[in-house]
Amino acid sequence: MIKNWVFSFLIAFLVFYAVDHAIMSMQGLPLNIDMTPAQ
Amino acid sequence: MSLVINKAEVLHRPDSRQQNRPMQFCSGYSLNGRYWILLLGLVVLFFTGGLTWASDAIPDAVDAAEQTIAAKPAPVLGPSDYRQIGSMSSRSFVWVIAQLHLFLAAFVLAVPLFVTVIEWIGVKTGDQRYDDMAHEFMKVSMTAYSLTALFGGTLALALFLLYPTFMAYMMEVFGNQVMVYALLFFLESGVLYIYYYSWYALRYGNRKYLHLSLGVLLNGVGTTLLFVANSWATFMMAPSGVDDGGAVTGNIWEIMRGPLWNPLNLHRFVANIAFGGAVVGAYAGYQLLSARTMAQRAHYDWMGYTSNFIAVLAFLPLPFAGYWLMAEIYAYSQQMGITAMGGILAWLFIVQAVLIGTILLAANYYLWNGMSRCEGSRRYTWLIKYIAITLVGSFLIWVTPHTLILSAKEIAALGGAHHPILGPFGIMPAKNIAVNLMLIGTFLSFQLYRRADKEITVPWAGFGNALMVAIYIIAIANVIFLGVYYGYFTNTVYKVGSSVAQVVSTLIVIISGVTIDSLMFKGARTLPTTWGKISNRGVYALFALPIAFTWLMALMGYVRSSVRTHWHVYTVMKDNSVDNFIPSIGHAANMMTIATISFLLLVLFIFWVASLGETRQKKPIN
Repeated sequence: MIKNWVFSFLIAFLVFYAVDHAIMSMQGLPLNIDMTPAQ
Repeated sequence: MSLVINKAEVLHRPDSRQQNRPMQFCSGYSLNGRYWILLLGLVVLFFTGGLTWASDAIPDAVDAAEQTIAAKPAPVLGPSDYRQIGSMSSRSFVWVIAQLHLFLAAFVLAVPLFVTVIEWIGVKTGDQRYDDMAHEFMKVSMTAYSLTALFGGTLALALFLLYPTFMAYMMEVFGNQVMVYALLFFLESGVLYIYYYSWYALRYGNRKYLHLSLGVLLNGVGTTLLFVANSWATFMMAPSGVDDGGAVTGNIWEIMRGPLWNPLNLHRFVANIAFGGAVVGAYAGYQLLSARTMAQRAHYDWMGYTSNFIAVLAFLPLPFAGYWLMAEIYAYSQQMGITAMGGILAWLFIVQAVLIGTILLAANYYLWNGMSRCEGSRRYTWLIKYIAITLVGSFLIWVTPHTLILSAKEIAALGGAHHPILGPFGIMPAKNIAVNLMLIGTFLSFQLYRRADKEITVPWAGFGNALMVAIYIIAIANVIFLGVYYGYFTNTVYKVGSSVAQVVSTLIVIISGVTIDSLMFKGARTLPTTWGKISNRGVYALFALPIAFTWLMALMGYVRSSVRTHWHVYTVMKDNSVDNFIPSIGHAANMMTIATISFLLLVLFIFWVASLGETRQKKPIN
């Protein structure tokens, strides 16, 4: 049961983290690993 | 929520005459059915090809004399180029007539779009109630069609009478395209009348597919009409195919396909569907409240739910379509963009926030009330208060203005033109957070409603539910993080760019919600639903929706028109009329309200006429 929740939050976090990086990069606005602007 | 389907009533009832026909092909289509569908397909192709030819080939075939006329620059207008009816402001007259025409046109273009889909669902499920509901929606829109034409004709006459020189220039620019528009009306009228009046003649078997094809053709013609008319509005805002003086330099395709054409096409196409759904929802609500039997009540309750579903489903992507339109306006002209959202018209977007908040609150309230139809909804009702708090809180942030209307003394007392604490809520990052949270909250209401009548039986339900919860929580956190961090702590470019990531987060919630639920509902047990079991308060929300939608359309139409400021055609033809000024917000609000109330009275007339056809007077006993 707890495994389900941990796994789910991990998947969701990784998906949104990747989406944020992808969307910002596509607009020419790269991010660092800690989400701060790279420019 | 699923309906209890009466399998005995299916749409593919064999026609007794067809049973004597030659053997059908294994696909189930008879040769005659295929012939009609092929014929209709050829008609559609011919029509599409004709339109392309008309739009492209005719200007190429224009003789040299006409080309010389079309190459003249836009005239400079003087007082003699404007007319007035008595002392009535020409702008005010055209404003109200044009707005009423747009309201009615949006309605009659939208209804066939979702009627064809509902009719198709009726074919796929075999449930005749979908077919009956689709027919009833069309009945409502038939009266509206005549009114649309009346106001369109009046608008055209008013424009030619009151702005003859401006209209002469527009006719020079668009040329034969306006006759294509007229021809499309003939086609629209013909197909519409055949589509409606052949409903029962083409009801079953292959004839039903012919009827559906007519629906598709009707929507194709209607959408083309919309796109053609949109080109006139977008030309006035962002002229293309002409030089700086207004002389035509390109062909009709270059004139039509300006930078704002497709954003406006998308926005109006989707918004029409949302608006049409809201208006027929009011019809359903009106019929439900006046229903005399439980069967009638159940039927109109279901119709109201379907209408609300259509309205909200189309409404969810609208902010993104509007955002694209505004982004293109900024890209075309920074000045125009700033006028719209950062300058003199900025307060109208606060009013827009009030109306969209009203729409979302009303739509959610209707869904929450509708949960009382099913006992299984009790599992989820504890979440409603949190959705309500999110909606109201986001609504309050969205309506918070940035620049306040203050006297010099008040500014001194406040320490500036912006409130020290609430000021940060007045800029776009806060609004973007608010609107995305409202859309996520609305989708959650939908998802709970869909789950209310189901008991999920898949073995991986625990993981599926945990994943759904995680997606919601992380998406909400992401939306807030993107808005706060990039909105207030980084530069402008990252601030604007982060809004796209917020939109995508919301879309991920919606798409994953629909996908996960579809997979989890396989083999689910359906709990009983009692259609008609909804409080009257919930039904009143179906009246609030079209009122807010109508007023919102009037507001945004006014913004689109006045963003041109003192130009008839932006940077090409100046407005030199006596109405060459942006009116006060109060005056504009009064004009919009007059148009809205007039339209709502027309809607009542349309509903009355729609039900008048079913009224039968009892024969007097002599």
